[in-house]
Amino acid sequence: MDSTRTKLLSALAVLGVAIVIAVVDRGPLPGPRGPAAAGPMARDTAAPPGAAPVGAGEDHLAPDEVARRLLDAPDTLAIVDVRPADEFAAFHLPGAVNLDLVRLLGPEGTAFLDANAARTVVLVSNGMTHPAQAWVELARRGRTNVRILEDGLDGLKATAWMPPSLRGPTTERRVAEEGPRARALAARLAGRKAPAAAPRPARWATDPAALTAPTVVSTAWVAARLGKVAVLDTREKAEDVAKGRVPGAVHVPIAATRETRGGVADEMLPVEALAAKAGAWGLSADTEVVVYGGDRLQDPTHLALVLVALGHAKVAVMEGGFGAWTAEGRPVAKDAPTPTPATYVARPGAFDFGVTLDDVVAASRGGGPVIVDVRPTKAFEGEKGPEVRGGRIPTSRSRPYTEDVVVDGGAVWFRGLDELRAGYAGLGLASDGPVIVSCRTGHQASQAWFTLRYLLGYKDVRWFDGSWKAWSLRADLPAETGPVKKKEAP
Amino acid sequence: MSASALPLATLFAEGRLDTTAAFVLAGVLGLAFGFWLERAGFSSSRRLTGVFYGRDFAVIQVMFSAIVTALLGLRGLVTLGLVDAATVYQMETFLGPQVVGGLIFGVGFVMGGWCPGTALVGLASGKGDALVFLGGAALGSLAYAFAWPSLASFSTAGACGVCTLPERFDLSPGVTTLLVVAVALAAFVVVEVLAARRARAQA
Repeated sequence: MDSTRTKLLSALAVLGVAIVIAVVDRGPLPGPRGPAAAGPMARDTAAPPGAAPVGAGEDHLAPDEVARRLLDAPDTLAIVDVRPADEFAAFHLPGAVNLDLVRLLGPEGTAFLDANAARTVVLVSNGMTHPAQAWVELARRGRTNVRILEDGLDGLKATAWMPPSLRGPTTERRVAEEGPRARALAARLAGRKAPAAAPRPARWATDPAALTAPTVVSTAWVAARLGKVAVLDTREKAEDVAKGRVPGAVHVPIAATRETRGGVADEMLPVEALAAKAGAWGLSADTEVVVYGGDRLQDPTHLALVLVALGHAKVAVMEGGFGAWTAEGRPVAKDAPTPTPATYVARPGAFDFGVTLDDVVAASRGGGPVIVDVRPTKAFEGEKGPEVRGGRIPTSRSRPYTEDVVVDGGAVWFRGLDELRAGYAGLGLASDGPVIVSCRTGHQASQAWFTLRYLLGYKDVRWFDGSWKAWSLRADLPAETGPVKKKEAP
Repeated sequence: MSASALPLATLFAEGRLDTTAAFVLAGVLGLAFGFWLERAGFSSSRRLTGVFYGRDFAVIQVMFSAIVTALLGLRGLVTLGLVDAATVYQMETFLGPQVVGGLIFGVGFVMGGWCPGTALVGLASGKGDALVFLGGAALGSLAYAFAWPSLASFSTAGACGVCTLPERFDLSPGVTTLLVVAVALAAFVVVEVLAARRARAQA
């Protein structure tokens, strides 16, 4: 049959071609070994330092090798940039010296090479022509520690400096491995510090059997005690709370604890008025209270501060906040509870940690308590907000409140002990010395107050309720502006 | 290998996927690919799944023909020194996800009657079930994306880098080519015999 014959013939032809290939094609095996080897990254094998015949490739360093040493061991390199001065001024590698060919091969270059005999001298240009010309002459003079940057700065831009995702065939794994390196190099070449690793939220919950002192508890702790402890929702907006709350939680926005007094807005109510309010929330002096917020920790810490001012020790901040609560799929109620009014008797003299404007004026002259300003850096540097003027209290030190927390999705957490401790120690604070925390209205400062006092164990933390809004109103008081000074001589 | 060997480059590797020429080329190649798939009978899910029931072996025949054609073409050009084998991009092998993915793919193929490419061919020739199949594929892709955090570690299970048959069996590329061709021809013969027997049984 004709079709059978065609099939047979084709099969024979195919087989014949395959046999020919089998006989002739003995390798080499197809080249690139995976994506990492595809493209310019393939030239990863750099020449070790040492005597350098060109044939062995020991006259050049691959861009990746130069990048690696720039990041890990910059002291082992002495970089000579042979481009014209204007190009050098526009951009050069960190630590590079600008010597064109004439100077490099003259006495100036000889002095430089003698001084850097123990380092690898890397000749750099946009390409390789001029460095290669210089290399030949230097090799003839017996210099064995000179290398050319392979493919020049152009090559560096196309490889190590280029995000791996833009370098051609790539894999998730390669991006994960090489991405941080490319970003670190980009940061180094731009003269910045390498980007810091993302801060990690920490867990501070002590989850005691019974509350005895202000502390931090977990959502699980609160969930196990629903109905047994009083829960206060400190989120600002009533409509957020109306959408859902921890079952039984009474909504107490910070505004409910403040008033305008003596021309200063947002001052904490007097203790007697707060005690009456606490009774209306259903609290008595013996109630275990949990406070929580949304994605801000200064809300619950502020209410905790208010309760501590009443002498209430059985108070805990729920870490993670309502965001963590919902993310963990815990029960949510829509209905507002009707708290049973109680009589709250404040402990006299408990509010001993507040400072007045006069106290702060005295501290601003130095020598007394250290003033820590927790507003964002811009406000600290003098950007005008809603107050009559911008600026900061003289001698105050900056520690933005945002640096104490990590917002992760809708949840908010304190950062870890080491990070918090280092941050405040960097301001020159002593854990047993007096500290005054201040911000714009006293709200953000409550978070620093709670952090210093209950997480880091600072013994004498004072809270300036008036903060910048009170200070700025007094035209006779001085203000500083300008960049942050992290550390000042006490 | 002669000095005039051509490097094999892809638009992706050259960073030129976003050029007009690349779009035109992709359109032309895609249309041609779809056209010939259709001509090979791949626009019928009955025909495609026939292979699983021993009725119709078009899938095996077309796939093996394609493999043999590409294999002989590429190895032939390399042997003649016209193409530089070192520039052929090779995928890495991840045994775990590839075995599991292959099984899922096969189950989907039997149940749905299509594979992703042929479903598009089927859709182009007006098959409604292909549209449903593609909807399912889209949903599956989404589900995969959302499940990625828990799948990420498995996605590299059994990684063995680029691993090729010649390396695995320590053979020259040419002998490997011959063996693959022999297997393909044997498969063709078996398939012919099976089809003929079934035709006789039905007759």
